[in-house]
Amino acid sequence: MTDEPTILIVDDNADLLDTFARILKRRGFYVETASSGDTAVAKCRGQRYDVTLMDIVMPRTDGVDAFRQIRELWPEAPVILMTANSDDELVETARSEGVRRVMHKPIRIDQLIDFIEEVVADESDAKAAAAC
Amino acid sequence: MTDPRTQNPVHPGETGQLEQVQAKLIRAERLAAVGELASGVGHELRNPLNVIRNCAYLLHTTLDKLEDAEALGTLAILDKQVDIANKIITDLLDFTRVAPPAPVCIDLNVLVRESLSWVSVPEQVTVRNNCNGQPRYIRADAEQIGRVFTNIIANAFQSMNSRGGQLTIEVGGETGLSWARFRDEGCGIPAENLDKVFEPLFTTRHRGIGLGLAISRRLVEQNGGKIEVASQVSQGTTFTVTLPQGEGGQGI
Repeated sequence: MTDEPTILIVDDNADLLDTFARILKRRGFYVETASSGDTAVAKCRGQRYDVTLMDIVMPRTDGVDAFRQIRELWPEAPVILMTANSDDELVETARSEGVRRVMHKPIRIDQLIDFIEEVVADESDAKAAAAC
Repeated sequence: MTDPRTQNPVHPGETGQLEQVQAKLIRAERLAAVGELASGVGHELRNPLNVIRNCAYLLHTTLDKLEDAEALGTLAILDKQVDIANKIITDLLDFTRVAPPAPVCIDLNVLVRESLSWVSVPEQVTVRNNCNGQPRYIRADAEQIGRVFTNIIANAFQSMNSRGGQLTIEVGGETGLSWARFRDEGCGIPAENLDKVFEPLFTTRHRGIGLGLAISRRLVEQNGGKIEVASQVSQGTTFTVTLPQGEGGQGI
């Protein structure tokens, strides 16, 4: 198990998946990828990621459905959803169900990294509090 | 001659009217097609734009170590163009889906100052405003009217981009109404185009698709206000946005 914060990136666009993964690896995160909602859920059965960064619009299991399934496995797991739509009913649904943030594509990398670091810091605070 | 839709005979005096109706129908069909395309285009284009942005970022982190200022500047242009392309997509989506306003009581001065802060002022352009005076409350959706102001300000800057000049913003009011007036010293709009500037898909620029002012008018009108334009070629253009007054003392 790695000491670096663990990120699972989920997107059906292979180039997006590859470039996000390279950026976050360069910034010191341990990164795994999944190209579908189903694969993401399967990966989450084996481990709890510090952050899951997931696209909403994907074939078969969309990001919101995958988020719900991940939440059943890990009720407190932080999930950030990504969307290419300005106004999406799915976005509102996800927000009301507890997704940490919805980011709009094309995502500003600095904003994304700031937010991931914020979530990771919250996570380690929560772990420290639980250990006390 | 017959009406192509009804096949009824058309008298010579009606030909002009018929042409106008046909032009409107063609325009309506064109807009409907834009609307249909917009949501699909948004999703399909924002993903590749995100990939382009990610690639620029990755190259930036590599080139940063080499201290190659020219290459870094080129990547900054690339990133800026991603924003411009995304703005076009957003305009298309906004045009087809304008959310109902969520009106609040806000000070027009604050809204103008905030809108100004969202647009970078070109080097050769100066801005003068009277937005530090008496509060002028309006009742409107702050985000929607802020977008209108930002659009007018960005257009004004663009019209003065090559020649320089001053943007003068005044805020005022009269019984039941408050207004914000934006006067630029740009290239101006020819008289024959003045009544078309708020029409969707009308543009005289190389950049943009001519939806900014059409959206602005829609946003202002659905907030109970009106937007007016006056212009003289080579002297400049003035946009005035008038909105219903709000009750004082509840501003943001």
